[in-house]
Order: sequence, then structure tokens, then C-alpha cells
Amino acid sequence: MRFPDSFKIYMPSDREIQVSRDFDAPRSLVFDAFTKPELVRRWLLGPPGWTMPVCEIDLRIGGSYRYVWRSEKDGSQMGMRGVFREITPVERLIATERFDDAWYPGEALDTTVFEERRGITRTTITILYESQEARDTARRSGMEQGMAAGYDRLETLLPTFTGEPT
Amino acid sequence: MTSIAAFHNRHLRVLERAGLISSASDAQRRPRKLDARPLAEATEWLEAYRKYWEASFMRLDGLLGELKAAGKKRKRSTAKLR
Repeated sequence: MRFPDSFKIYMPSDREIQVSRDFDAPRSLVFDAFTKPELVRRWLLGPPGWTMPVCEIDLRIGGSYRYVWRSEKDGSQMGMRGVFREITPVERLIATERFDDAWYPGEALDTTVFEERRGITRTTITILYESQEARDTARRSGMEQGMAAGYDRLETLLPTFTGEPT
Repeated sequence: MTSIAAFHNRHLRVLERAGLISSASDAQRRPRKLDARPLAEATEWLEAYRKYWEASFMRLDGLLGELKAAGKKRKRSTAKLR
């Protein structure tokens, strides 16, 4: 079963963004999908047309992780890294996050909580920015990237609209 | 102050902080001006952000289904061995 309608986005405070979603799997599996590189790179792919060539995770307190996404269209890359602050297996993860081209000041702190009830796991990701300004900057650029991805997709659809011979 | 008026004032303060409305400094009337631009921007961002996570979580649904099936299969084969 899938629960796409359980998806929620909140702004619990001036400095936070929170995303939550239910998954039809025990939390040990969801925790694995968030912490094992060979699993993470199968779903955390970025916008359509992007791949995840680098996904390294050193799952211990003080250990770091490194993600790089790559656009198959123009070869541009986007990287992100961080350090684990707290690891409570299958329950909770706290890690810092910083993008290589840091468009928002400082680091953000990501808390991921996995709560299981009758075999369904509610996963809540909270991103805490250093300031409201940082959160809003991250939000704005996220919007631009999202729109860019939207335009890319539109481009792939355009030949159909104009009725070009295929 | 009635609780409804207090609630109304609180609501106005939140809208003001979010940059959605501004008030003139006429203490008697305090007319408010609505600026919907930040709201449109926020909505647009939210839509893009939602789409990004929704697509990722759909892929995660598929992956978890696969992992669950693989786990059951493994359990069955160990049961057979016993």
C-alpha cells in the first residue's frame, strides 16, 4: 500500500521546514533506506533528469556523509555534505547539512524521526536553519530549481504539443 | 479585549511579520494594505518543493515494497532449511 495523501509540509517556526510522510514498511527498513548508500541512491535522485553519482555515508557520530547530484542534460553538479550528531538506530537521526554552493548562510540541522504504528512508519524530517533569513533564502532558491526542473520537463513535452513528427 | 478581537490582532501581526500586509501609522484607523506577492511566491515554492519530495517518496515506496518482499522470501527460505 502507498500513502501519498499523508504527505505534509509545515513551517513549525521561523527557522524550520518540516516534511512528513507515512510508509507501508517497518521502521527498520525505512531507516535502512535513509542510511545505506546503495539504498539512498535509488530514491534520493533529485529532480527528473538528475542522477546521484556520489553517495557516501559513514554512519557514526561525528562521521560524515557526502551526496553529489548530476544533471544528465548539461553535466552540472550539486553537492552536499554533513556530519552525524546523533544516531538512534531505527528511531532518530540528527545531522548537519551544507551545500557546496551554499546559497543560504551557515549550516542547517536535519532531524529525521521514524515512528512505527501497526507496520506503518511515519517519517518526519525537520530542517532547522541558522536564521529565518537562511530558511527563506533556501526556500527561494529551491523554488527556482524546482521551476528549472519544471521547464526541463516541459521541453521534453514540447515536441508532442507542436505535433512534430517523431 | 474580547477573545475574538485578540485573535484578530494576533492574526494581523502574523500577516504583517510575513510581509503580507503593512499598516499605515494612523493610530486611529490603522488601514492595512494587502500585498499578495509574497504569498504567490510562497505558494509557488511550496508547489515545487512538494513535487520534488512527492516524486522522491514515490520512489521510496517502490524501494520499500521491494525490500519487504525480499525479507519475506528470505524468511521463507530459512524456514525451509529448518
